[in-house]
Amino acid sequence: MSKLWRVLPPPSPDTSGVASVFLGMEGHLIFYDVQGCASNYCVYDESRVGEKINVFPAQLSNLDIIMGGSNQVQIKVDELLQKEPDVKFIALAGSPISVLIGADLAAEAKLISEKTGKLTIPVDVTGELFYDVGAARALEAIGKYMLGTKRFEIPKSVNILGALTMDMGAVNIEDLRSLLGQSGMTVLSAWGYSLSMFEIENAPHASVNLVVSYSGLKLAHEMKERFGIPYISGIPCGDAWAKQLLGSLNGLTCKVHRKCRHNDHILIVGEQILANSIRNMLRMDYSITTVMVASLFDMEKEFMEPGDVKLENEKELLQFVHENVFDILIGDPFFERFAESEEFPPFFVPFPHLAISSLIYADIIPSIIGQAGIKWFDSVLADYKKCNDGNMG
Amino acid sequence: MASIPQCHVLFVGPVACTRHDILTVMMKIKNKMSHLCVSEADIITGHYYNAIDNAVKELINEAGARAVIIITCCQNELIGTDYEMLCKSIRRKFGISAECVQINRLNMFRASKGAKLTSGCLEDVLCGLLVKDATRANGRDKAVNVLGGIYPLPQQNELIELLAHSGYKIRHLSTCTTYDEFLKMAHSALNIVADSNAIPAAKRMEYTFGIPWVDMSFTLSLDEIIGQYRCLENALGIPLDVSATKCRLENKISNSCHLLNGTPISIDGRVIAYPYSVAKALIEYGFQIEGIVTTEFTAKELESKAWIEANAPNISVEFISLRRQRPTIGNRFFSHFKIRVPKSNYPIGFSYIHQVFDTLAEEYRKKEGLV
Repeated sequence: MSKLWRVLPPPSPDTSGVASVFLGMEGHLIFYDVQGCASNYCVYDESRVGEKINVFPAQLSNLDIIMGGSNQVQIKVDELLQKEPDVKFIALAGSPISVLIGADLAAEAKLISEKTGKLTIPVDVTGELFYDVGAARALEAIGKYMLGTKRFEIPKSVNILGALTMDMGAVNIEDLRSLLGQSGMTVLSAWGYSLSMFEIENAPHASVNLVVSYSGLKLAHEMKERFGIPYISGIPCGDAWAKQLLGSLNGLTCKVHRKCRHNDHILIVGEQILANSIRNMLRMDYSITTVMVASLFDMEKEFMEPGDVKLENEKELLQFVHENVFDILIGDPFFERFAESEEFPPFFVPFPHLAISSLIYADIIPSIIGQAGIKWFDSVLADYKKCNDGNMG
Repeated sequence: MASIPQCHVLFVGPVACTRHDILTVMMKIKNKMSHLCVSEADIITGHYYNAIDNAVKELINEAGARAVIIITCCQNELIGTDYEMLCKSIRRKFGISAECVQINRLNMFRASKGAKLTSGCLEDVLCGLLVKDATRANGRDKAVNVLGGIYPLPQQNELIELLAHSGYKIRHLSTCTTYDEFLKMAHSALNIVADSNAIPAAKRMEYTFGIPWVDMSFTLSLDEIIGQYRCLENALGIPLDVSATKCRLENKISNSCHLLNGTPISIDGRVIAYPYSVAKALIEYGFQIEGIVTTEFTAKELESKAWIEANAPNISVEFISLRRQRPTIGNRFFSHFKIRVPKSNYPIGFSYIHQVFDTLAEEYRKKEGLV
């Protein structure tokens, strides 16, 4: 399998996924890493620039690596606690360096916890996988170490799991909260989006979990097992699909009205649950039936439809796009670089994914929650029609 | 580094490291930079050597690479990669030129002890390619190399006309269209250093190819620029008359000073190179400086910084970290008016100073409604 990225940059690493989850939380995240690198985990892939930075590297040096990094990690922890003694927890995440020297993160975390009296959470990442894996592990670790045991169900309440700005952008997460509120649900927590201790405390009482990205799935399984909280995956975008999803959350059934349109072939490349949700919107609101989903990131088999494909690298993506005929491709603006090839699909719809194009196009992430999704895709179709008319003329 | 035609940069490391240069790659040097994302197993088993070989092969076959610059990470450093052997092996197997740049954030102090790290040695690495591939010329071309920077000299720079008048053409990395053209830089008569970071490259080319060099890096002092031109005259053995240019510039500075009439100016290091030196020069020319904003401090500015502290202690100086500044920094430092001189414009010769004062006067007139 080729590990060479020539057209696209390498996607966001697992370390960035971890940083994204912990950013804005009431604790410190320390990477078992050398100096300088942690800023990159935040700077390149994080759009919440207003948040206070709580992500730090341990600043290991050559000597620390040879003699053992524990001391330096402890020094860094002490330094941070001196400045902010009231933090609620410390998270210790791995890096390419910790994995190479075989650092025992769980043991380190235990040691820090014993010395400082602070809850310390190990997050096992290596810097060698992609952001979705890192975010999933971070959410799982928070769930494992920080969720309480008591549960009393609050009717019509929901946790949003896997709400990463890297997938949806902050605007869509905020819109999702509002939409859920308008539909009569109480949002108890948004896991992945500046999660507060209060939210963590309340999370076990939710009547249902809404998983909005692959990263939230493992946590959803865990919460189902521990607390019996059922979960539904999807993002309520558009009209009919949003109604159906919100209806399912509320335990209601909902009739959907289908508009009739021409049958275009569409490929959506991106995070699986987001892409699936857009597909549902296209089917239910626009009756576009041939929609395939492909992703460079992990995909849940259960949610894959025939024709969906998990891609390992840019070569596979290029090959997939060329071997299949699509009228429209929805994906990160960087994918347009493939358009340099002659056989590229005729119409490209940019949907920025921070894990691919960083912050470069963060300002043009479309709002898709609820009716905003319809507005977005109506404008896409209008452009598409214009493009087709132009080609025919 | 990717300015060299048919030369590809291959960044080897885990995803967490290789994603670091995403902005540069996607915005500035498309198709010249590739990333090889290695895994823990690749590093431990040494398979990354094979992976690099395969990647280089692909770059040669599919992208027409004639040279590669390999950038490595802390992991490669930690396991004791022999970079020289790695490059030699690539040269031998594929018959192309190869150079390595080490990134080692495990030991940031090595750079200060002379180790070859990325910062400050890029020009040297480029020169390495030249040294290994080019032949030493018997005679010299009637051409001069400009070393430093990633853009060509702007057309309005007086150096172009002055040298052309004497029959010399200018060679710069960014204007080479083929690798062979790049190699011709080894046959030039002189190296002009436009950025002090390029001095190691100039020294190395002097040692290897016998090409002399003159330092024409940034200064706002007219006398110093005259001195630089005297050195250039001596090195090329041709007369370069810049007295009229100097005279025009002196008038321009005097007019600008009169126009602004004591209006306070803030210097923003985010949009202009060498803010301390600019502040010092403007004060010496009679302008009123109120504050300096800077994002970095370079050794080249040491003298100017000390001068400002001694002679203009009331000037406010604020250091702003570039980290995460995007939407949070307002324009409060532009309370009066702002001028923008692109960093891409070479701060070399009189032309740059002309542009600074033109922009200054133009913006002031706009602000005062004089246009």
